[in-house]
Amino acid sequence: MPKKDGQSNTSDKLSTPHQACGQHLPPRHFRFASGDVFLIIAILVFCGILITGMLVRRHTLSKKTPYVRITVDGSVVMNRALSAFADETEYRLATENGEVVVILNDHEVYIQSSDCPDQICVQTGKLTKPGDGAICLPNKIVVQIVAGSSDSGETDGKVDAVAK
Amino acid sequence: MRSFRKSSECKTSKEKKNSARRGTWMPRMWSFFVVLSLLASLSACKKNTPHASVSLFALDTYVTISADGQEAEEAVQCASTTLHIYEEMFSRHHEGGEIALLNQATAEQPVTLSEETYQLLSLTCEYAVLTDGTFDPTVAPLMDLWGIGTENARVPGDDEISEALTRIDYHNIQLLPNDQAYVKDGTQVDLGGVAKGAIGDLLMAKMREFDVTKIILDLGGNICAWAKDDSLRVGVISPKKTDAQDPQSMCAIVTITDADLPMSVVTSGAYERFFEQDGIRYGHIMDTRTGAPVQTDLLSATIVGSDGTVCDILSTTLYAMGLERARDWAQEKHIDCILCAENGTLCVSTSLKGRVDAEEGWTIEYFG
Amino acid sequence: MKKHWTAFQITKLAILLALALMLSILEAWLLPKGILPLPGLKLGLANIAILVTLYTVGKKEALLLAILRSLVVLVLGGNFVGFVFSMLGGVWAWCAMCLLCERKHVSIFGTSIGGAACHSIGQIMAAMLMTRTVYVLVYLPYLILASCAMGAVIAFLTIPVVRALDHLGNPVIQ
Repeated sequence: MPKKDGQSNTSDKLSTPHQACGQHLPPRHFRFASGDVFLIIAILVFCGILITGMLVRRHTLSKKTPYVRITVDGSVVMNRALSAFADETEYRLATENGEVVVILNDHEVYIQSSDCPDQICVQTGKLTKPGDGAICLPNKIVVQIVAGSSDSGETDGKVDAVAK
Repeated sequence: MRSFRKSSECKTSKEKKNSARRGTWMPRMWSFFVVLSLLASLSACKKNTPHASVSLFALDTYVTISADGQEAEEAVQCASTTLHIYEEMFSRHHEGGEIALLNQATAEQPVTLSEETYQLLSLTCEYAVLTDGTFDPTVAPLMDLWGIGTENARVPGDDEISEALTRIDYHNIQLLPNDQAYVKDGTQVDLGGVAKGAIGDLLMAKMREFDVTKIILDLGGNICAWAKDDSLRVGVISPKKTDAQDPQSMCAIVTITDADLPMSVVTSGAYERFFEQDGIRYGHIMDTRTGAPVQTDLLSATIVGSDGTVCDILSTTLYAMGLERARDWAQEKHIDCILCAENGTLCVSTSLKGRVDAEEGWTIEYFG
Repeated sequence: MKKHWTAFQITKLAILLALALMLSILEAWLLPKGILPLPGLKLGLANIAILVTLYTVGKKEALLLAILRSLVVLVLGGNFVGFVFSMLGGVWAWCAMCLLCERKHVSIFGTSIGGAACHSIGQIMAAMLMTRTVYVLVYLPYLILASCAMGAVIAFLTIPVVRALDHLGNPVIQ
């Protein structure tokens, strides 16, 4: 690696590497540098804050009444207290790919089977506390446990009219 | 390709220009994104359009008419005046009203009806045939007998009921050409069951002639709504009256996006007008075969459609049919409906998929 | 494009595109769907080709390559959901990599890791669009962390390639 290339490139900050026509790339591109360390630390800190925030939120929510909310392509198809399922209930959702089977009982919810290629939603396992959720992207289904009072109680402004 | 460069040209100056241009390229791209996001947030802001609304008592209920747009005030004004005209036209209790006259008419002296009344009457008869009498516009004597929803509500005797049933038969309505009609054998026509839906449609058509962008008509819970380039959310009242603190609690929210046609959302159920005696709940919807309030396993039936009159008729019909029959029938006739079953399940037509959100305590099951 | 492309450059881009596609297929073959524990997490082998383009050809070409690769995969696989994901992810990653590759103290490592992290941001955005729920956001930190590791692996694989091309006197740019 000729060393003078590095100089020629650092002198012209605006130029992108490839513009040094006929010249070699500066060696700085190949060596682990201070900027990399900084970037990695920044990302770690960012993720750390997010994860801590989520854990704290989950902890505070876990004391509230759990509600099951199932969303298909953005529209809510189930919104019920988990305690309503004293008997184990099977909820089947027909989708473009086939069928998704959700099992509900009074203390947990899980996706038993799903006609989707990745099966990530099935592997997510059992959902027990508010904040838990399972997502099936190919079927656009989100199964969530939410804290009961999180978004109820404000009927005004939510709708334009009420049919009765 | 904006500039075509020949390699033989003076290289140094070109190179400088090029690098300078390249330097400005990235900021330009970023500013493009910034402008784009600004535009997006701007368009999210609602423009300040005039809004008008009026609430009044009519059709034995509470009516709210509201509109947005340049001529909102005029549209609402026009609608509230027209509302009373139609109300008198369709009421059988109004002396000299068309329906009152129709009930006195005979074969020798048929009454000439206005175009609106005649059309409504023929539509009503059509659906009476279609639903095989489950919906019947001549049910008035039974309603008067039971008096449900009034102070004189009672369980009548069998002989009274059979007497009233003899006066109920939608076949007795005779429609003649040239907007003429009469009724046979002392049968009484009562358009009370469809008046709200029909008036909603008529008012909507009137109001849309004005320069308005959004109209919401609430005729005692019959919703008829239209919004230009916007979506509206219409709640469906929860038929379970467990929560006394929140009388407005809903079981579902329907999103209306069809900008061309006004959409109606009409609910029928015995959760509001009923009376109880000896532990039995009697609703206000009558079964013309038994002469008693209908026995159904549905808590309520809600219809979503562009014709408010039809929605009004069908919601009563589907409610009276009960879950099994209503589901099959709605599927066969391609009716968009939400049927509330007792176990907290909402049976929703597949055609409404993605337009209905379940509220707390309810589960949607699609059918069809 | 302000530059007039020679047949040589077009050929070069075509070769790089073919390489990117080959790597996509290789990846699908090596790591079948569902083997990795997070939705949307992949090794991103095709990013090698994108990085090589970015460092030896140019930024716009790299974007072109990323878009073309997504399009060809869409045409071949017919998976529209996957296309939206790789498009949004690809564009985000490209933006990040463009900013990072100009920095003095950032190497290919940093560029690759930053690109991978932003790729997952783009993917989560796509997932939010798809499911129309914000809940998908809970995956974001985990996905970023995992994809950073993948980004490092990719950088390890990319460095020798870029270095080799560079030793050859970088014929790509002549």
